[in-house]
Amino acid sequence: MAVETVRKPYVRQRSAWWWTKNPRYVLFQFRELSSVFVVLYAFLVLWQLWALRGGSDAYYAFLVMWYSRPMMALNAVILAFAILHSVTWFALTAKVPLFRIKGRPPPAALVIGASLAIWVALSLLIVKLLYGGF
Amino acid sequence: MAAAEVDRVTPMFWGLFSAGGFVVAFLLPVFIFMNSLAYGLHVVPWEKVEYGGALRWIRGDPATALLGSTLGWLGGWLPKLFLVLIIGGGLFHGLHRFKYVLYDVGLHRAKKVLDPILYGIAAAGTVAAVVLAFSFP
Repeated sequence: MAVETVRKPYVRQRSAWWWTKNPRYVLFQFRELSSVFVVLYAFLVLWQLWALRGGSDAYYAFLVMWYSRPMMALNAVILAFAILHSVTWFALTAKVPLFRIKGRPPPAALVIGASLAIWVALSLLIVKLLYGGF
Repeated sequence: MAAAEVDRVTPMFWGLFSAGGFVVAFLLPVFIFMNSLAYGLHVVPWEKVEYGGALRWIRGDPATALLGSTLGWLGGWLPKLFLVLIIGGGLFHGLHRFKYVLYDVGLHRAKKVLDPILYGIAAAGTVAAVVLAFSFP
């Protein structure tokens, strides 16, 4: 237990909407919010695998729900947040110099550009390798 | 408090957060598109998403065909490994980040309860992903 103190510190009041005051804070909150959608999607895929294990009838019932309009809309929102995560993740990893060029950390633009290029290439590779193309 | 007492747990979860962050950033968008939207947008045919198509996908048929006879055995592993990486990485990354969102709104006092619950969910989900994914042929 902490020792009781007699001091009465001043606690500044802060609105729950403080982050709407500045676009940078809005982006920060949306980036943090992306975690909720990533977790949600992980559970949706577990549900999908469960349905697939349940046999063809269970999986068809799942697909009817999966390709319904509300679910398509939710999945589009999840994709938007996933892309926001990717882009902001590349931007923040660019701030951590993993290597140096002539003793200097690589410029952020180079790291972000390289990450985006790898991202696109890897995505195309996955479409080709795991899905056999479109 | 003894000086030798080093916190080895917190850095481990930050490590999982970071690894998961890379996995989610590079692999998740293309998976969401192919798994959730491609059929609805008429990019892939019904045969690829219906029951038989889904079973062929998780069995790794496209990868096996593409990799040929020498690396074909890898084909059956790739989709399952991919699923485990996305689900496990997503859960450890997402729930760690979500933990700090909850701290920010005032739940930092509930750290002792919150941490085991969130990391417990991440661990249970990852185990479920391994068991489910590898239960398919």
